[in-house]
This record gives sequence, C-alpha cells and structure tokens, in this order.
Amino acid sequence: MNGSSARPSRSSEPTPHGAPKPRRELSDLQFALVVTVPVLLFLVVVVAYPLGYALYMSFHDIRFFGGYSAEFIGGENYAGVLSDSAFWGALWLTIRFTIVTVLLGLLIGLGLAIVLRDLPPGWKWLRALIILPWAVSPYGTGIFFAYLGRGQTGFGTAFANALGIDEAINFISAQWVIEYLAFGNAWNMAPLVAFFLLANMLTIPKRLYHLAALDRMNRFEQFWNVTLPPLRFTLFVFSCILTVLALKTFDFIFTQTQGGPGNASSVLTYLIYRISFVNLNLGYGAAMSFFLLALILGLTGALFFFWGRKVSR
Amino acid sequence: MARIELKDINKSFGEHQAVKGLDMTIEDGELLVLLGPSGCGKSTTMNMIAGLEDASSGQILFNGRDVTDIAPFERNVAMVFQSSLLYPHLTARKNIRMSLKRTKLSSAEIDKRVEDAATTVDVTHLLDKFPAHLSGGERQRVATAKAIVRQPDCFLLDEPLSALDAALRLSLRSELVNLQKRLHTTMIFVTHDQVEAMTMGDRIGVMRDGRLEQIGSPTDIYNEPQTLFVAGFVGAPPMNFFDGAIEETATGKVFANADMRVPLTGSAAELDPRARVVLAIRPHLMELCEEGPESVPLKVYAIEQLGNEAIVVCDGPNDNRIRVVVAPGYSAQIGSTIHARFNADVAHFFDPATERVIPKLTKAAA
Ligand SMILES: Nc1ncnc2c1ncn2[C@@H]1O[C@H](COP(=O)(O)OP(=O)(O)OP(=O)(O)O)[C@@H](O)[C@H]1O
Ligand SMILES: [Mg+2]
Repeated sequence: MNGSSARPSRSSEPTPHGAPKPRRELSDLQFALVVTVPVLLFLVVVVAYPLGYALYMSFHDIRFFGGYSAEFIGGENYAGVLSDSAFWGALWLTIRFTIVTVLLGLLIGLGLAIVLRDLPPGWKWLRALIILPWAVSPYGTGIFFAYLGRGQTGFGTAFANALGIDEAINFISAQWVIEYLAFGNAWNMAPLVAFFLLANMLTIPKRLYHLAALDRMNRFEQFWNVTLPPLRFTLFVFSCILTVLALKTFDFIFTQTQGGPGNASSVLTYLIYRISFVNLNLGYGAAMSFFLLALILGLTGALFFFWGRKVSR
Repeated sequence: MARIELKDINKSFGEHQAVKGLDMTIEDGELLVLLGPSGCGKSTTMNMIAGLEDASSGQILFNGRDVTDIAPFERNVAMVFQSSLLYPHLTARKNIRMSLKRTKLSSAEIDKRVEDAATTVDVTHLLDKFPAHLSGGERQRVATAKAIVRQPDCFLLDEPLSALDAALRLSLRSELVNLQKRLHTTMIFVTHDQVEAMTMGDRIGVMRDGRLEQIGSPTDIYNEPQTLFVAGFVGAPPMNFFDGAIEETATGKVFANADMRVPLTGSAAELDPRARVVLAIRPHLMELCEEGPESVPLKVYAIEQLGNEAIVVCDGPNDNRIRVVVAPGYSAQIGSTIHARFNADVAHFFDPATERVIPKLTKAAA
C-alpha cells in the first residue's frame, strides 16, 4: 500500500565512485515537514488554544450573573449531558440529518456526474454552469430553501395545485423538516461531488465499455462493473467530507428554521449554540461540544475502518 | 457459427477514411487471417464486425441477416482486443467468468469452463492476480482465455499472440487452431507475423490503406500475388523487384534493363513485349553465379545468418535492396560486388502503372 517504506530515501544513498558530494536533496519526509510545519504551527495556535480553553470550561461551572466566576466541578457537566433528554433528542436528529445528507449528496452528485458526462456535444458548457449551487453560501441556500419549503410559498403546494389537489404542503413540518434540511444541504454540496466524480469518470477508457458490451452486460451491470469501481475512492472521501460537514452544520439550519418547528430541527450544533450563547451556560455547552467532537471522530473512523481500508490504494 | 459478409463497408473518423469500400465474405467455420501494415484498418474492421463501431456506410450480414444496426449485445461475438483489455478491478478469474455472465450454465459448469480455458492458454497459476500485476504476455493470454471460454458465433482475435515469446507463441498458435477447428467456429485473426498468417489461416486477407488488396489461400497469396503490394508485403525475406522492359529479340523474349538481359522461358515466354515492367522474384529463387549477361551485379550490404540458411542483403541496381538466400556460413566482404541470377519462369511481372500483376497467358488459358 504505502510505498514510502520500500523506497530508500534519496539523501542516504552513497555517492558513486567517491565523486564530489552532490547537493543534498530532501527526502520525501523532509520535504513534507518543510511544507507542513508552518501550517501545523498555525493550526496549533488557532485550534489548540480554543480547544484547550473549551476543555478547561467543560470542567467548570461558569457564571456571569453576579460577576464572572468559574468553579471547578469535575465531570459533572459531562454526566449532566448524558442524562439530558434534550441531548439525546438532538443527537438522534443530527444522525438522521447526517445520514440523509450523505446519501442524497452522493446520489445527486453521482446522477449529476452521469448527466454531465453524457451531455451531447455543444452542451458541454453546462458542466461549468452546474457548479453554481456550490457557489451559493449555506446562508443563502438556507433562505432559498426556506421559501421553497414553506406551505405558502413552496414548491410542494405548487406541485399539489398542479395535480389539482387544493392543499398546502409544508415541508418545514415537525415530521419532515430534518429530511428537507438534509435535502437542501445535499443540493448545496452535490455539484462539488459531481465534479470530482465526473473527473474520475472521464478517465475510464471507452474500450472498457466495449468490453462490457461484448460481455453482453445490461446498463445496470455496465454501471456496476465499469463506471463504479474507479469511483469508489472518491465516493469514500466524499462520504467522510459530507459526514463531517453535516455533523457540524449550523448556519444553514439557523437561517432556515432556527431549530424549529418546536425542537424538530434542533440538531446538536444548534442545541450547543442555544445552551452556550443564549442561555450562557458555557461549561455545559463546552462539555456537550466534546460529545459532538467524539461523534465526528467516531463516525469518520468507522467509515474508514469498514470502507476506506478496502478502497484506499 | 456464422457466415459473415461485409458489403461495401466504409468508415471515416472525421476527415480520415480508415476503411474504404471493403467487400469480404468469411465463410462459416473459416479461419481468416487479416494481414496488413500498421494503420491499414484491421482493428477498425474488427470493431465494426463486433458492432463496437458503426460503419459510416455499407452492410454487415451474419448468416444472411443484416446486423449493421444491431448492438454487440446481440451479435454473440467474442473478441480479444489489441490492448488485451481486462476489467482492472477484477482478478483474472473473475474477468474470464464475466464472459459467461449471460449464459445459463451452473456455477460448477462455469468453473470448469474457466479452468479449461485457462489451461488452454496456460494461465491457471495466474487466475487470482489482478490485471495490473500481470505481464503484457500474461495479460494477453488471460484476455484470450476470456474470449475462448465462450462459444460464440465468431471469434475476433486482434494480435492475441503478439507479446509472447517464440515457444509460447508456437504452442498457443496450434491450440487456437485446434480449438477453432474442433468447435468449427468462424474466426478472424489479426497478426503481423508472416509465419502465423501462413500457417494458421484457411485464407489470408491482405489489407492496405483501408482496402482489401487480395484475399485467398496462403499458397495463392504467396505464389500468386495479384498486386505489387501483396508481393512485397507477404513472405519473409520479402520479394526482390527489378525494373525493366520485355523485349522481343531474334532468340526470343528477354527481360532487359541496364544491368541484365534475362531470357524469358517457360510461362514467361508468353508475355507481350512492353516498355515498362516490374519483375518480382523471391530471394529463395535466386542464386549466386559468375558474372555474365544474365546475371545482376549486387553490392553486399549485410549478411544475416539464420542457422539453416543465410541471407545476403545487397544494394541492387536502382538503389533498392535485393536479398539472396544462400547456404549457411556464407561470407563475403561487405561492399564487394557479387553476381546473382534467377530463372524468369518463376518470376512475377507487374505493370508499374496499375501495380497489378500481368497475367501469364498460359496460366490464364489453363
Ligand atoms: N477512434 C479513432 N479516431 C480517429 N482515427 C482513428 C480511430 N481509430 C482508428 N483511427 C485511424 O484509423 C486508421 C486505422 O486504424 P486501425 O486501428 O484499424 O489500424 P490497424 O490496421 O489495426 O493498425 P495496427 O496494425 O497498428 O493495429 C489509423 O490511421 C488510425 O489512426
Ligand atoms: Mg490494430
């Protein structure tokens, strides 16, 4: 898998025939360090400090009323989170939102990529246009989808009317709001997925489709045996990216539903926001955010363990 | 099993016409070898027969049925691509199995067929490897196994043996012919190897520049080439050509040019006199001799020792290469002048304007 161990580092090779020592070249590792150390340092400053501070807060009871005070309370905040029904409700919503986002994002992306690949000559410029949804900010997407989803202004109602059903269809209802939000989120991300998949698809030799034709495969088998295999790695990478992005989605939900109706779209990020910055319960919010971090690491780790190891080259 | 007819097939890629007015019939159960220089349209023709490329115009018939617009899916042909194409993410075994996906065979039966095909081309030990981990020749053999594991109406093999060593090539050649004759399946076989073409084919089709130059049995192609191109292309070492004229003299007709005057004997004596003619003679039919009016002076350029014989490569009178087959171990100074002669009876005569053969009257009458 990993070629670096087998490849001798160039700088350690003996110089032939005692020739004057050539200018030392950097080994792969050295080069990697030179390039990444400044970035790592920067990350330590901008990530580690807040992270450390959050960790500090999560073990304290922080009060603003009657003057600022921070009292060490050990793991009490963490225990509190585990027995908080609001947390478990939000966790379930978050997972639902994430799964639907990832599945829809990949499916829409794949569908778009196939459509873009098969564009007739003269229509290829559409490939450039289709990236536009991705260029819209999550904030903009939120406002946009809020209009589209509501009973009064949305396409559900318009569609029902077109079918002759005189009924307002509201997607932003307690029952479907999570799926609807996930759909908007997927719509936002799918073009990027599609672009990467398209790039992959364009490297598949046309001859392989000829081979599939001679093996008398139908369209589905052809997709499964020729188109999909080279896409597996990209699909895995985007599953991870979409998972992380979905788990930490905030602005999109904030602009669109504010966690409502009721608490129906109050996912973890939104709950943490409310606890920390509306109720100013900073220690408790910080503790909960570490559960979110664990969820992110756990889910991506599981993805890699069960899927990534098979497809990474 | 299929009789395949190509009727006036044309194929253009943009401006470039790869196949031009191709008419050809491949009989049921026949093994046709396609021979021709690189880029003459052999692979393109194969792709059109398989249905992978649409002909720009013309008709393709399988057993009299027009399949021109029918998908490869329904043509039931098996093909080895020139690039020994395999699915990169599947092992050799699964690649071969893929060919049998559409059959109603039981899994055990499929396993047996795969095993048999792999044995035929000697790749049983490679079945669990991925294509990327196979050598070029191994990949070619797996691709061949993938084709022969099926029992199609027609096999299309595009240079399936080109990357193999001589011994393997020899044994696979006979395996393939045996298989083809046993199953009585029509087969079209593309090769650049002269020996392969001569030994395998029931007939050989020689293509040039998108056209069919000549089609016939290997002996016909070798002994009675219809065009200058076929004469020069088929046979190793290639034919020798001499420009000259046929002249009528008091003692009979002669082939004459600045260097030699060769009396026309036997069938060649029937030729009419003409000012320009190309005489073609196989290197095996020439012999070294003393200087004389009938001999041609040659300057030794190189000597190729083949073990059982040697070939003297010479600069001929018109700066063209002339080859003479001599006994093994022959030696001569490079650059020295030697003389060779031949019997005009066994030579071929071509019209340089049309590049076609000038028929010898006796043969036409016979
Ligand atoms: N897809 C294509 N687009 C454009 N030109 C093509 C295409 N395929 C083939 N050609 C051209 O058509 C001609 C015939 O190609 P083809 O592959 O049939 O040659 P070939 O006889 O198989 O040669 P070789 O012996 O080298 O395999 C060539 O000049 C080639 O450049
Ligand atoms: Mg070819």
